[in-house]
Amino acid sequence: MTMIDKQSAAACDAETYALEAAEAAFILEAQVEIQKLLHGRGLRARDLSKRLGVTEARISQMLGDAAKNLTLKTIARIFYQLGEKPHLTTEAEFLRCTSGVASAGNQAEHWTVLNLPRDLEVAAASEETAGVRTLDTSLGCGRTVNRWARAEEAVSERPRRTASGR
Amino acid sequence: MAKGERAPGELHEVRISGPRGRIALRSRDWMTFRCRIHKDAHHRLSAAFDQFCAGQARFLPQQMFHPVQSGVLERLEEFHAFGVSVIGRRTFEGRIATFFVTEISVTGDAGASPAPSEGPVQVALPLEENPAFRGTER
Repeated sequence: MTMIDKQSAAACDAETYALEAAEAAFILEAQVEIQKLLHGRGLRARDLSKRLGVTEARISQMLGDAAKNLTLKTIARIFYQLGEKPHLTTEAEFLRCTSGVASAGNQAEHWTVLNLPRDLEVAAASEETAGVRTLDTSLGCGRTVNRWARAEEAVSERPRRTASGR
Repeated sequence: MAKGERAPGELHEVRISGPRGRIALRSRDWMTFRCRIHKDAHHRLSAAFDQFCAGQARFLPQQMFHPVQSGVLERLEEFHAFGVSVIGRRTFEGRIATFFVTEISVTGDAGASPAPSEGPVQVALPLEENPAFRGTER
């Protein structure tokens, strides 16, 4: 018989488990995106701390287990200092906008949805990661995010939005 | 069972998989991961495993995923969250990385400290007077 710790995940009900898992996944997703930006620009936490005007320990806390002080405002500030703009959306919307990369079929669809010649490189590199939320970042996350944003504009005639309201 | 064969429970099985990676654990380590560590550590490690399986291991915070210094020759790596360490070895089959967990350990600063013992508290030791120092008698 397996002994279950009272504070373990197995002791939670399904809804609590799913909720807490979603929180942890999103927090780590934000931290990973920050790391990608730093990596793409050849920067370290020390460089980010100088740009934000905070200590390295503060950056370490933001990227730590508890994600201390990693607020939406801070995330926006980090992206701004690194020359990027974050976009918040649903997974369904993201997959819809990147469906031209995910599908391995129609070349014409690639051109129609993305309409950017260099995106073929990203598409080719990402063929094996179809359906995954994060594209191959070998070309740098920043450019991938920009391409995604431009793809969204090309597909939708609605005004570009920075956050999904669903 | 023949000599040299491992019991079924000692074999690694892929428990979590994704397009670019897999996490393999023995059954006892899988039970530990699910039932015996704090839920905060469990959720954060689960999220880290998902990122690993999506091929994002190199973008995980360094304090969360890093090589184990003592295992330089063995190339051991460690996932760490809320005081729980998941140590293992990464292998590659083409572009697919598989992380074989060899050990799950809980350090002293883990959030999931074991439930306090409900046994009797140790009785305070009685103070003893040293008769040799009582007064100035010799």
